[in-house]
Amino acid sequence: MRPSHVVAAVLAAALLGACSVSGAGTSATGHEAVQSSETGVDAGEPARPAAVATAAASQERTERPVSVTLPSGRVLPVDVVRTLPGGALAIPRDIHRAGWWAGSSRLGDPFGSIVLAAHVDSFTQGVGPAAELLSTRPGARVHLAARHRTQSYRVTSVRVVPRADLRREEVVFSAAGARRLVLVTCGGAYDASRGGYQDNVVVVARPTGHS
Amino acid sequence: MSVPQARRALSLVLLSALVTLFTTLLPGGVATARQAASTYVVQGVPDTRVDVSVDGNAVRSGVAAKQVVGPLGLSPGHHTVSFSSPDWKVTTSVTVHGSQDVVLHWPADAADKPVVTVFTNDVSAVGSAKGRLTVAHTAVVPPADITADGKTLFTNIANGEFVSAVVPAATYQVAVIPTGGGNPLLGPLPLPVQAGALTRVFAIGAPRNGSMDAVVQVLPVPTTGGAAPASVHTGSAGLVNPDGSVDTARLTTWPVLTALLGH
Repeated sequence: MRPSHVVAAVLAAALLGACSVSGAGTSATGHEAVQSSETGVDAGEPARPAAVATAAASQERTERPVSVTLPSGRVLPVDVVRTLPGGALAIPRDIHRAGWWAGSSRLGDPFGSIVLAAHVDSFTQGVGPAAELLSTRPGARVHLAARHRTQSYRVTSVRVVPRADLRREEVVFSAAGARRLVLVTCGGAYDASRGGYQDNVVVVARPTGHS
Repeated sequence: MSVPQARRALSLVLLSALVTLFTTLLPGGVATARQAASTYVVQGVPDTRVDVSVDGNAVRSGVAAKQVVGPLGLSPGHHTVSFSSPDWKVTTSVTVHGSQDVVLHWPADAADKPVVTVFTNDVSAVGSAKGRLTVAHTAVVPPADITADGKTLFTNIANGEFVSAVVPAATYQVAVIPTGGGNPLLGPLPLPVQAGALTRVFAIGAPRNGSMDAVVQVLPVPTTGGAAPASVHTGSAGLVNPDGSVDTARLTTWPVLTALLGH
């Protein structure tokens, strides 16, 4: 007997074995089980474990961003931030870190904006990496990384919005609409007597496919 | 007492009051409350009334199709759940933990009696103005896609499977479409998805006898991140010009940096 015949014979035996096992399984869970319950065995029959539902293969595992790569290639770690009771978004004090608003979308969500914000500067640390957003132009690339997934984006708009009007910008905070990344920092004229920077700079970027 | 001290004292008082409230109201205290299971029974067999019993004790009789019974106060661990109609009895053992749906439904192919599938309810927090939508396939149809407002939201869900996503709170026109195309098996039907809620939809029944239908269950979930921000303050020093260049005049007068430069 040639080795290939031996392999074939072993495989055939294994398949037959598998078939007879699954056949026994079918009879245990199928018609014969019903017949035995009709003859009164049901009461003493041990209950079979219920099937546990599984997620379909198309299920997205959504994740929050852990880092953002700015158009220059500079990478900022991302912290989770929330809206303070007064309505202001809490921003990481460190100008070398960005904040992801936990009320916004996650990577893998089908709709809405992923909102990131970072300080453009500070009195203690000087000018921050986010300053490059003020001179970013449409077409520039931004990249998000999460624990298991990544997403690239192409900048579609860079707008300067008076700070008081930011809340009316539907594209920034809305849970609705196409998937997008929105980066927010400060800019515009600086007036120390009127709260510093007068504007927010809003960079909107759209996904370009995975990694 | 200064204002911050007073605030701290007040929050401590409130916290201890809350703890007292919880430990008084909930037998076994906070720890037990966190571990308590929420088990729901979903009757997904059309045109049939079933009697439900758990561990041999009758829970509810004559449960009509599409009814959701619960939450049952079951302890975590193994329980025997039985469903009986005049035509069949289905007995199954369920491992109870967390929030779960125990669903009686027909399998994908022809069968003499229904089957039981346990679904875990994802009651984790969702973002602002969002709800979690979960669609479960418990109908006598091949794998299906789900569309919302004409857009394909979920693809290729087989009997006994589910797909879930966090979506903006809104009313969607939801349809079940055969994977690979064809006329809708169900819908489009208007489906409201509330903010801060898990909306579970079970597709049930069979197209061949016109019994395709949907069971909708809504469970509250926490929200995270707070409301949409009213403002974003992301600058303080005025070191950056509107065009993104660094304001060198301000930079040279900036005390900290001059100190650093002068070292």
